Amino acid sequence: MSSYDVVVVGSGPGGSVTARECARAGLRVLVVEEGERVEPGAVPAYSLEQMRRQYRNQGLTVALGRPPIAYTEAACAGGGSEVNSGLYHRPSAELLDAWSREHAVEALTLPDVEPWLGTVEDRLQVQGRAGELPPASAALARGAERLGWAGLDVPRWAVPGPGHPEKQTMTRTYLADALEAGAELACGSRVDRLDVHDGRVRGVVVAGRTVTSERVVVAAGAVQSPALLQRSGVPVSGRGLAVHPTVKVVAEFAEDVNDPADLATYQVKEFAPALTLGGSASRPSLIALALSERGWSVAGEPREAWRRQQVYYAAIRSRGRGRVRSVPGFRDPVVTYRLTREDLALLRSGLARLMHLLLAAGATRLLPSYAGAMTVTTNADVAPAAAAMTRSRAALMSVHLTGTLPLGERRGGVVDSWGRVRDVTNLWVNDASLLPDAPGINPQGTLMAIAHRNVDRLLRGDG
Amino acid sequence: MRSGATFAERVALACLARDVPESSLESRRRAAEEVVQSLTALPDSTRAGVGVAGVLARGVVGRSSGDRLVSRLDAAPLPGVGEYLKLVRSLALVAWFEDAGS
Ligand SMILES: Cc1cc2nc3c(=O)[nH]c(=O)nc-3n(C[C@H](O)[C@H](O)[C@H](O)COP(=O)(O)OP(=O)(O)OC[C@H]3O[C@@H](n4cnc5c(N)ncnc54)[C@H](O)[C@@H]3O)c2cc1C
Repeated sequence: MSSYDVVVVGSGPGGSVTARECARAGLRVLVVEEGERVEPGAVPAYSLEQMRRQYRNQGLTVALGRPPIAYTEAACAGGGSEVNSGLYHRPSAELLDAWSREHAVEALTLPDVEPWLGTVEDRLQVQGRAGELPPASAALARGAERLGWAGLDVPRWAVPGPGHPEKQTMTRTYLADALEAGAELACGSRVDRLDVHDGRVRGVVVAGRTVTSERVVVAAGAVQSPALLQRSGVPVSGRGLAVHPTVKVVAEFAEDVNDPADLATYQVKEFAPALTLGGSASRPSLIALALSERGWSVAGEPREAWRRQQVYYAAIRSRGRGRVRSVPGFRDPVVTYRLTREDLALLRSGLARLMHLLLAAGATRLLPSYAGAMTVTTNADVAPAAAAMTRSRAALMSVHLTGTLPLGERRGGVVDSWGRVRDVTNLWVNDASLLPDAPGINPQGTLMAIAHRNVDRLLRGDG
Repeated sequence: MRSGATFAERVALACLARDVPESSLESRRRAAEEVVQSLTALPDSTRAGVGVAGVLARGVVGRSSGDRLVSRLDAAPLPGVGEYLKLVRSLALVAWFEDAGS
């Protein structure tokens, strides 16, 4: 490591787009990634081994609050794209218009972003499924059809593989392109802080040594990016963390539904964007985990029951917000989240709708995943089971983290409409932190298109 | 660290004996060892909190073991003790099911 035109911190979707475009423009690029490089498919998807090798803190991260919200961040070459489900949505014109209005963002309408969405879709080979839905997805589709609710089998960045579809992760696509165009990748290297002086960043500090660079782009994800800026003395409040709080139900069917290596890709969008219903990873260990939230009932489950069981979720757009705070002396930031009363009400109604959907789909037994939850077998059980999920009993999680460094021209904002840090001339942010809010859809496609838009501006020298 | 680790293992073993009573002691021991490893991976602020909760929990259970240990922790009114039990139990369950349970 010596001196570069651009250092990119983090190799997730935001960082990989940035690195590829900069390297293709002929710049000397270094991508610094804290995690290790694990070839796609080398560890079983959603397994403990994957948690250990590809997640930050082995996936044991939590936003403190009432209730706390468990969240996960990847920490590996390719970031979240290596471990995620590959579900792709285009953002709606309404969403982008709302962000543009509320955060005074320049050039963020759908026509502005659409070309970049196309670029992302082409490179990631985003496509719908050919052929029949697998049982866990088919159950959701059946329930939706019976209730007359809208839904879709969500397209993915995955191509048909020998067994399961091969997800087009960053290490297979954008990061590979960046390396081919001459970028260097330093894995297992944590940027402790940025070297910022007199309104300019001189480089990044890794293991006590400064790697100098003309420009630095921070793409460490919505929790780590603000934490890194804070550690570097850039005034960042860390407020604004926005997630999709999610509640889960284990549904049991008369027949086998569970594919431990994949999840249901069908989503019910009847109540979108406020509420999305879908399927989660359901390895036996994850079913046991969901059941353990309820109390001491795991022992009563027949050992082979997992084959007929599947974890489903209700995820909401939340009015609550969280905060990321870097605390001197601690390596990891402290993360908090305040769920509002409206959020809790929406989660309850989401849980109720999810249970009606699953009963309509033919589930014989529903086991909501919160403390002391009753077992649901009929529609009459649904209302009391949903109402009993109080703040102190709820068990919530989220995998979509956004909003800590929202782009826009609003006064007091840390970055401008293109991700450039206002107080530091040659410093940019280009990742999920920039999304002003959790969008009500799986966010990676949106953040990648915005990352393309921003790096295009950076390379044109207008940023 | 060592005595803390031993206590987490004790709690994990007691939880697994309740959750998967048909399992072998050997498989439960392996999972309990994994729990100790996972606890070291917690974010440092959480780890500090869990350490304190572990000390409180140890005070609650005294020398009890097995089902009695779990019942005492489950019923303890002290802040953090319930969360400690929940954390250790969930780590133990995941480790056991990943290793032996499928
Ligand atoms: C289990 C799971 C399932 C998901 N499913 C979907 C899905 O189906 N569809 C979808 O659209 N989205 C999904 N997401 C969300 C999606 O993965 C994220 O929105 C996306 O990865 C965010 O990209 P990013 O570039 O902002 O950050 P990340 O992907 O988090 O990448 C940041 C990278 O920076 C590195 N880093 C952090 N700090 C430092 C530092 N100081 N020094 C060096 N490196 C550092 C990290 O190790 C990490 O690799 C899922 C996420 C998870 C965890």
